[in-house]
Amino acid sequence: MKLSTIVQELRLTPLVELHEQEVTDAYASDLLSDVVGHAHAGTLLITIQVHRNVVAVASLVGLSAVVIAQGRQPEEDVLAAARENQVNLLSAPSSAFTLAGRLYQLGLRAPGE
Amino acid sequence: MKSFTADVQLHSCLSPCGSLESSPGRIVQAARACGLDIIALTDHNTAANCPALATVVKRVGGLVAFYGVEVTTVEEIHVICLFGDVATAVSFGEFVRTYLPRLQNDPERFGDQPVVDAEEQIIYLDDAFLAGATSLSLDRVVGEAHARSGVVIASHIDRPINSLFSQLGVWPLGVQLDACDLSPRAKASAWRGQVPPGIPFIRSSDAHFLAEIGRQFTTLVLREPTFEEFCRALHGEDGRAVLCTEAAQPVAATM
Repeated sequence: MKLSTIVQELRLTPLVELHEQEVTDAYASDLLSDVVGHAHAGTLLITIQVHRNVVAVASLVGLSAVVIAQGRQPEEDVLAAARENQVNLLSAPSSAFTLAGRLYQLGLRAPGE
Repeated sequence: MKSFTADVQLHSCLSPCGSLESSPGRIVQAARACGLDIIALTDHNTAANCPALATVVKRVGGLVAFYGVEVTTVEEIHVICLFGDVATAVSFGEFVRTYLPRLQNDPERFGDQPVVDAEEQIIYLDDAFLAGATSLSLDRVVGEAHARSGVVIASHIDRPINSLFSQLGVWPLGVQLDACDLSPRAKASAWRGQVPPGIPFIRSSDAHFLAEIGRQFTTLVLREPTFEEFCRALHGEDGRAVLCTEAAQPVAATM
């Protein structure tokens, strides 16, 4: 599924300029060690983790996008890192639970499911 | 230069899940009995039992104490913040506790949290939710501790919960941590590659019970056992050193 489709359907707010990506699956976690262990290239991550390592891990794993739930706002240095590393960073006022439910309705599944 | 045995992460009865027997007085007794030269009191998100520890250490002698707080950051990482004097640690602890969630401690689940004096008398029971996470970011905690001339050590970096790596996945670039602490089960060589060069490893007991004090330790090579010398050792200045063994070893075994 195209990232732009998801952005439209869920009315996500881009926090940086987006680069179109194919979203293969989705994962929800706030522990970045867990993300490294279970997500892979193409995974969309839903999280409330706004430490700048969310960008480092997204870049390392090759996540298609990171959606910050619950309206949390990352600091400017996190946004700068996302721009520099071309990481698609978005936000939504909804909870991680609701976002995951809506992505599931759109047909996305967790990695390996 | 001389070698000193140090255990710089100890919890008193004030910590949630800390043993009620762990008064500052009993901690000093236990630390001396197992041959430690330097200890630090680092209760969760408070330093309110540090004044009692300072009184006991001054009275008993034969031991040097540092004073600190084990802060839970908003990322739910545990970091040990250490200071050379009681007043700074206490005021840092008061700063930290204002960022705790507005919940009351549940003694049934986490135990009572007594603030005590040097005579083991309870001054009051702290009803703050010390087991909770503060809303302070890791960066903010490091900045605030450094502004008070303290040092910040990432606690038990090998553990699957509340550690720098469990929460952040990889080493966070740009964070000015002074050292990394390993839990007893960790081999130092397994973690060396995960941490930038120049950041020393330490071992501390993280004792929540008296019997755990000194179950592992760090050897500090210093001119004299002071906090200033400890800070210089963390940065490897002029022959001072922080020596962390490959595997855990109790301090009593070295006597």
